[in-house]
Amino acid sequence: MTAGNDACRRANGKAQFRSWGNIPHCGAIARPAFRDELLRMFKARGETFLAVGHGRSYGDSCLNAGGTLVVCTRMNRLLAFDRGQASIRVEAGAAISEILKVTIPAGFVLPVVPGTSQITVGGAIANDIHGKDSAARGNFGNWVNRIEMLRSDGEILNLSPGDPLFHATIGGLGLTGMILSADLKLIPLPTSEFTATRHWFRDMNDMWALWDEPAFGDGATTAWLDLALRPGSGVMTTGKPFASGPSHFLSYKGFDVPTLLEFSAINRFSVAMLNATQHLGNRRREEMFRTSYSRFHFPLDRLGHWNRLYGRRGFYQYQCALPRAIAREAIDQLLSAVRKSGILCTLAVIKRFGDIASPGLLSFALPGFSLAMDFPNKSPATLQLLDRLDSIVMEGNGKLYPAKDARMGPAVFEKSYPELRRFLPHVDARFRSDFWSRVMGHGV
Amino acid sequence: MGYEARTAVILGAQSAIAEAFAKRLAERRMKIVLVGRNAARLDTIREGLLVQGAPDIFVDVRDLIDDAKNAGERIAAWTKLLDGSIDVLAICHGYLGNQESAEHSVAEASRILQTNFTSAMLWAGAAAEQMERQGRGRLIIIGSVAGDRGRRGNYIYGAAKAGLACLVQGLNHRFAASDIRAVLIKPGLVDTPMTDGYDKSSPLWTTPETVAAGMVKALSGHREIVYSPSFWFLIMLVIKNLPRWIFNRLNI
Repeated sequence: MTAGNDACRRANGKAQFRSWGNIPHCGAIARPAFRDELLRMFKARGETFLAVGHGRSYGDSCLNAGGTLVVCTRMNRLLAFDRGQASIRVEAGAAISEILKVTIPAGFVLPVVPGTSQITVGGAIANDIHGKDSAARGNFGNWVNRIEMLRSDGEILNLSPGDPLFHATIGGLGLTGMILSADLKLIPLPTSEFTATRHWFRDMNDMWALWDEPAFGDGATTAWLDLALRPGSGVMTTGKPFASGPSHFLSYKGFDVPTLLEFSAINRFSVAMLNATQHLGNRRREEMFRTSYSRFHFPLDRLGHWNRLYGRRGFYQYQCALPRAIAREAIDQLLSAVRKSGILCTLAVIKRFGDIASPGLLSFALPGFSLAMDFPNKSPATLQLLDRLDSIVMEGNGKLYPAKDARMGPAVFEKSYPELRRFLPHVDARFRSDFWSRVMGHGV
Repeated sequence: MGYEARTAVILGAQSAIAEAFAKRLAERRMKIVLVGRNAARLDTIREGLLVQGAPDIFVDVRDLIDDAKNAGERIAAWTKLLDGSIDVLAICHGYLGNQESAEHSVAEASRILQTNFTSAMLWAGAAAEQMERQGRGRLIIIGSVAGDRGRRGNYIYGAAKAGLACLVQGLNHRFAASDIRAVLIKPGLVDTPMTDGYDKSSPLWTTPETVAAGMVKALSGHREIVYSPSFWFLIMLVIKNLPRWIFNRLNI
């Protein structure tokens, strides 16, 4: 978060668009509802653009200071649903929840979904998102058949696997153009009733042993680490659908934090309390329970706009991917560095990636593990810690995730993404993001 | 839904609230006629509604102000498309206009009245006749809280919307002995392209989906006037009853 953004934040009490880390956008916002509005917009205006969805990227990859954000969420229609081919065509602003609401009752589901259903298909493609079951299923980009894209010269292209621009657009962070619609492949879902297993572990050795078990290692699994209350402990959760049963998509409508808090409600005390609730029942060690598809896959949706609890200063998420061979050691080093710094880490989650290669040039996935950690934005000391974590990740030949990043520098980005050179020719110069300016060394 | 409905006509189908309402009806597998000015936009909406579950969606490209004089003919044509009965007719087209220019320009003031009131009244009249032939029907019209009390910022728009309230009351008096009802939905501040000029940070703002849900509920209920969301009933109760010497000093 640069000085420029701080200035914007000071001047802009009621920013109309913020990223998930609460960073405001400084510039114009357009919210087209129909395609003809878009075509006219590019002709009429000279500044840079960036297509965005619900602003669930944590950092500044969904911000474009000085330019225009094109918020696509009004273009959220489902255009065609082919049950025979198990595929669906949707406008890029359609949210995962809006798609599943129609496909789950019909017996189908999107193969790869993130921890929240409130993201758009455009965002899912532009970040090549992964999910709990990426070990077996790969990334979102693996299940895209076709992308319809608008370039700034007004040309509308239809891209399929094999087109270099298709591979640049997956994980392309919106820089290759504006995605209008996409054809997505679905897989059958016998029922939305899920059976899940929760396993509490007391130290990291237990956790690593669990990842080796097929039930956990190959399934839809996440490991949550408690870094605040009992470091080394955590809960590993895996789940899968029953063989048969009813199919409903219940979008969980719990409490929604209505406005951005002035000050953060997240501190050592509140995090300790929250973590304590996760340990309830841990004497049982392992527990099986019944849940639903949406409760299992979208834990982040239980509290709407929970990011607002971090207040105006917001928070950082640090997410890195580490190759399988060195992941265990690297994660130990990362956690040790966090512990030594004394800086509060409010959430830490580990997911596994499998061997399925993603079609995206700038895809975050690599065979191994991902570690994601949330840090309140309290001080420069936090940024220093993140720089130290960078060196550990780079030493292990790992990479950082643009969708979560607000501070990585050009060197780390280049080392993380060796395909950058092949990607650059596909960038459409009239599209720009704050993230891109920073990692390309242009400054904001 | 308490009222058994298989078919619907939506006037002003391109508007955000209308599309959200149509989506709800499509989920209930109703056949719908979408009426608006822009063929390409209506076709996009149509594709979306078919996926949501509607068995059939028809598009009729019309200028609802110019064609209001042929309302009877158009309604007859739509009735044929919808298997002989229009169970629900929604009047959703509107024009916010610019109060300041309307104060100086007859054309702008007329446009506000024609779009929001006169054309709505003509279409409602033709729909009423058709529903009387059918013996049943629901006519749902989008009003506004702006019609509850004229205020400096939008009294011409408010006057047009206020007229709709009286229209709906009169229609219900006419329909008293039958299974036909007119309902006026009064949304408050709704986040749609029509209101994009405003600062939408206040918690009073709601979404087209919320208003659409209120419209569907109103079809089965017994109320003539429904505020959306319902808290506007209390807000407008206060506003309507403020004595002039207080209200006229307010800067709202």
